[in-house]
Amino acid sequence: MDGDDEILDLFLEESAEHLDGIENDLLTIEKDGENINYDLVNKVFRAMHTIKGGSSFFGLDKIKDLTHIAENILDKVRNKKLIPRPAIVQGLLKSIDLLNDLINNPHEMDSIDISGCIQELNSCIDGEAKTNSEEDKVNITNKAGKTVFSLDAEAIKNSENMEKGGVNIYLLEYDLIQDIEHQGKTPVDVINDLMQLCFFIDSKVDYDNTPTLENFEKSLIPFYVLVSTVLEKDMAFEFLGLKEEQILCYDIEGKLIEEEKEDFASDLLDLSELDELSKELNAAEETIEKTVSPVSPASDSPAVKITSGDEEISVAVRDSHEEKSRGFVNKSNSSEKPTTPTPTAKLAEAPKAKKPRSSSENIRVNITLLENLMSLAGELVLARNQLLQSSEHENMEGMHQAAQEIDVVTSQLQEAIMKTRMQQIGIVFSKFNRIVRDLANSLQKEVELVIEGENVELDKSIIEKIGDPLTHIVRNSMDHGFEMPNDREAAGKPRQGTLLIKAYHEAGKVVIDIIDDGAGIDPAKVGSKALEKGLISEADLERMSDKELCNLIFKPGFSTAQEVTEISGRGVGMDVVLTNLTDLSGIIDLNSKKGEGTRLKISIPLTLAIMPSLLISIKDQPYAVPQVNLLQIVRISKSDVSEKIQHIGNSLVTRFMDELIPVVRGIDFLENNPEPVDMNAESYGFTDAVQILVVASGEKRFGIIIDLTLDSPEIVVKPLGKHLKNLPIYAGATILGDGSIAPILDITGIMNVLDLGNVYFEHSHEETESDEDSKGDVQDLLIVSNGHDENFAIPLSSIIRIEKILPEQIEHVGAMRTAEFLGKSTGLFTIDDTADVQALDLNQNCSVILFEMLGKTLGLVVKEIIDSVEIAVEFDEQTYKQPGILGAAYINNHLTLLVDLFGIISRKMPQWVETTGIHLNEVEKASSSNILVVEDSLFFLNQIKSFLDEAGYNTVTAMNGQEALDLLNNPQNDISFVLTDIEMPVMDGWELITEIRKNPIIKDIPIVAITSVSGEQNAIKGKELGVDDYLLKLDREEILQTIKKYNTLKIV
Amino acid sequence: MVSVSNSNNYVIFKINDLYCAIHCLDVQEIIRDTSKISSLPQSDDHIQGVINLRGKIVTVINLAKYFHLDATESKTDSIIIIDEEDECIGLLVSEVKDVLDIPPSDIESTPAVPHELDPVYVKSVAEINKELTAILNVKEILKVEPNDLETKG
Repeated sequence: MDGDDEILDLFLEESAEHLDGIENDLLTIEKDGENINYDLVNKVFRAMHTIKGGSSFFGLDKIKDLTHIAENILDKVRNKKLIPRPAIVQGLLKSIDLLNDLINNPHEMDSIDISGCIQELNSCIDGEAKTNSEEDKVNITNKAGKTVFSLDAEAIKNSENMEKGGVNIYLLEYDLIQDIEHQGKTPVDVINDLMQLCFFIDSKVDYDNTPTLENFEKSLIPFYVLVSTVLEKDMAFEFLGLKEEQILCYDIEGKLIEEEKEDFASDLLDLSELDELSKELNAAEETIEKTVSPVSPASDSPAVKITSGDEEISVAVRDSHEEKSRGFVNKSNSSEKPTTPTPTAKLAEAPKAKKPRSSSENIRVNITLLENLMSLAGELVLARNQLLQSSEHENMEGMHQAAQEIDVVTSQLQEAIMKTRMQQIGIVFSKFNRIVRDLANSLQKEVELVIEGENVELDKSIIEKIGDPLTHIVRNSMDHGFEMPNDREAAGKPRQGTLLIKAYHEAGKVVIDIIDDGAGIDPAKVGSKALEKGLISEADLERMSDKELCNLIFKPGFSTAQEVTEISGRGVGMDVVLTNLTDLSGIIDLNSKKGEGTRLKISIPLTLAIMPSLLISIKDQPYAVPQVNLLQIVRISKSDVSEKIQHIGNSLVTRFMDELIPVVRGIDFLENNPEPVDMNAESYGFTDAVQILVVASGEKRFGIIIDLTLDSPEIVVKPLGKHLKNLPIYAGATILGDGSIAPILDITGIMNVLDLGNVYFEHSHEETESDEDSKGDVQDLLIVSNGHDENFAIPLSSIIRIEKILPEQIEHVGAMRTAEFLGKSTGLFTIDDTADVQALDLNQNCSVILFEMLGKTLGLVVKEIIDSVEIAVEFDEQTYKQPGILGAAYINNHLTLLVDLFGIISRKMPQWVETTGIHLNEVEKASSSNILVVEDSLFFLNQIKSFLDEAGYNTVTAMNGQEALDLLNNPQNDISFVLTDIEMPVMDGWELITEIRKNPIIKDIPIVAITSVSGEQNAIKGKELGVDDYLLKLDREEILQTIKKYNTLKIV
Repeated sequence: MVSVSNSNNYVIFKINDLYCAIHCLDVQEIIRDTSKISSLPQSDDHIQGVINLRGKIVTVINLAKYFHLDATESKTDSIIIIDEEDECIGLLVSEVKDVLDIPPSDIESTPAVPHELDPVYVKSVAEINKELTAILNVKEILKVEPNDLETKG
């Protein structure tokens, strides 16, 4: 890279930066329409203007022409002469595209055609104003009478009204060597300086006046700048730091204002002399370049970008030697080819084909971060010295200390360096504005793009790779997702669709949501197409859920040439998106509802290079499992193996959360023909407790049986060699602390190899359903704990609300504890008041579950609320029943005790129960007949029976509607009251009620329906069928009160 | 550093009883410790495993297996690290004998390839110390067969 390549690069880079935000600004300008945001237009205008200035200096005519005309249009916009209609903005956007092309490929400028765009832009102006014609041109001449600039008269006139512009037009003549290079400036600096004071019109370097080698010292390369300003001439000298002879003054018409001329002729070079000398110069050139090259060793570092706070400073790295050398090279080059003197021409002919520039070559680093890195490096050096010294003296203690130091510093250094690689995802998101706009236009759809979380940061390498898949998704959504505006209206949606792209952090990962409110994916359509393409069988189609069907769009071969449109589907489909994201260790989750829209949730790790892992061993070999994929480690003792691990055909399964997941052994994917599991052997042949690693890839989960877990280190991911790339089960390898190698397991790859996703899910669905059947009614339970590892469940339906309570809020009155809630003194209880469980420490902050019982609001104090679940479980009442505990069940793999609120109260405060009188007195007892309890769950049946018995009632029980009906039809049973469940096998509660009400003999018996979940719907249906009351199963008090009410009625 | 660009130096080594040679320029280094190879389940048969070469993970190919020679009893005491353009690859061999200068005149242009070896992998043959030595075509050996990539996937 020689001198002017460097300076050109600097300009190109700056220009690229200027262009960076413009696209979005233009889109905003378009959106604003007539309500012009002057600040924004000015911003774009200034950017164009600056680029124009630089390009004219470098002789980059194409850039200059484009920016010039764009500037004209923008000027008209801000002067309200032109409304930024979409067509105009379209033209401007095109020019930005071309400018980007030009700037990114400075060596292919010749092949980029800008005439079409210029024409388009010109026609934009045409509509509102007349085009620039030759007659309007004004020639600005220098003192020697040579035309320096040929400009539109209007441009000069307009300049008066520009920001910082004025009636005085000055032609400033700088000497490139003396005034600019020797001052350590660049022409762009000069222009920027000028723009502080004046309005910049145009600039030009007069290469024709390039000096020869011999008169080099006294000669100059004129660099002309034309500006407009309010400054008077004598002021201008001072402010601009120029000598009087360097400024020529013009009036607003572009006419030179004559003054006493000084003789410039002597300074100007004779062109004929130049020709004569050019041969000589050619010979001398080589020598010069040789002398020059060693002086500019640092020229490969064109710019260091430093971000300091919000302000960004660009610093050009250079020294004065380099400046001089650049001057030399410039001269020798331009004089070598006097006929094509512009640097562009030279660049185009440059033999070394340079790769297209890309803005990602540089990285912006916060300066405090950089300083932090420096100090860390310093600390590291100190620690190293300490280590070396200690090791020399065999000072174990010192070495130990140094090792600790290095440990700390290394992790800080790692973190800091990772931070330098972090970039905001907004870089990727911002281009979607344009994509969505363009696509909406060409598809004639109306879509608003909403972007959230632009400042979420991701590793540079991920930022670079995430763009393509996201673009594909956005295009897809635009093309297939959104309906035409009229169709949307017909479907009762707003005409304008909304595409939301949102980034946020979740569980140590970055999640990107792409949500549209379009038509959604039709699972039936996808299914039939997949069937047609032979991707699935008919049996598959039958059993697949809608979600699984939708996910077929990720299958390779789903998208084919048949449906290629201009926008999406170019023979590649969502499978490529999936592959790209999987490469980034990303997980994609698709949710779509036909007619409502589609939501794609992509979660990706913050960085790829270093990741947290779990080190495990299978057959004495270590393997690393990315923690991203890890859900849980489950240990099953040998005696439990046959119970906790079931088998379906030849595959093992276990229950995780509420799902049956397949379980595989390490050898199932590590060996080619592993010995199958002996399904008949005791504990499946496992000789010891089994450790299962529950892992997930996307929505799918499975378990891997491992031998040991070793460690959970942060590992550096190293790629495997090309001979091993064909192994899908590995995601690379890592080097452990002892220098040995551990392969990294690729969970998604393993799942694919074993074909787990498809085989097992069928079974797990069936299994789950049949399980639910056997487990009876669904219950809403609140799971709480007392701060120990015992979990308790409380029926949500009995709870009024939950409050926090501090130790000092609890008042102790005798054996009673109370606290004030909403101005009412509330009695407090704990589970350990009556039950033999670990005691709650009331000296900590606790939660109070408020419930109503016996006409009072009471509180149960617990340590914390863990969860609320809707679950179908059968409680085991035998083993765990005790005062205050009704029974126990496994909820989410944890033994959970069901709390008996009434039991606690009645045990702790027996007098309350007596005074409420829900127990029968002797008279009532004698007169009472039998109560029929119909309930299929043995647990609830016993519960209800026991509290009815306790209250003094006689009960008969039935397990289903049919049994109940048989009992009722036998008059000997003397049934005067029916308490029935709704959900029951053989004959359900609804049918039973209907039957009772139909039968003239028993139709007047009061019926109370009991249920585990309250629901308005059921209550209404119950009333319709003739139910007298609708109660909750575990609400003992309410049930007793109700029975008493009907009993009393009967007696009366 | 001595320039070796025009050298005729070859690393002479044995695979079982077979003498082979690789041009010095292709060889980066020779590792005598073969105990640190970590095997990689599911990799191709001729892949012995991977080693940690100063922080890089290097694939080690067992040449005996690669040439479908009897590898059951063969001793393997050295890894020849080949520096390919983009990565290093190790070749596990029975023993490294010597580094010798083989003048071009000693190299036979129409080689009588040892019958155990596929001629594709042999560049030429030389007689060294009365032993027929196959000069191997490293590029060909390290080539990744395209169908390798497809068979497992």
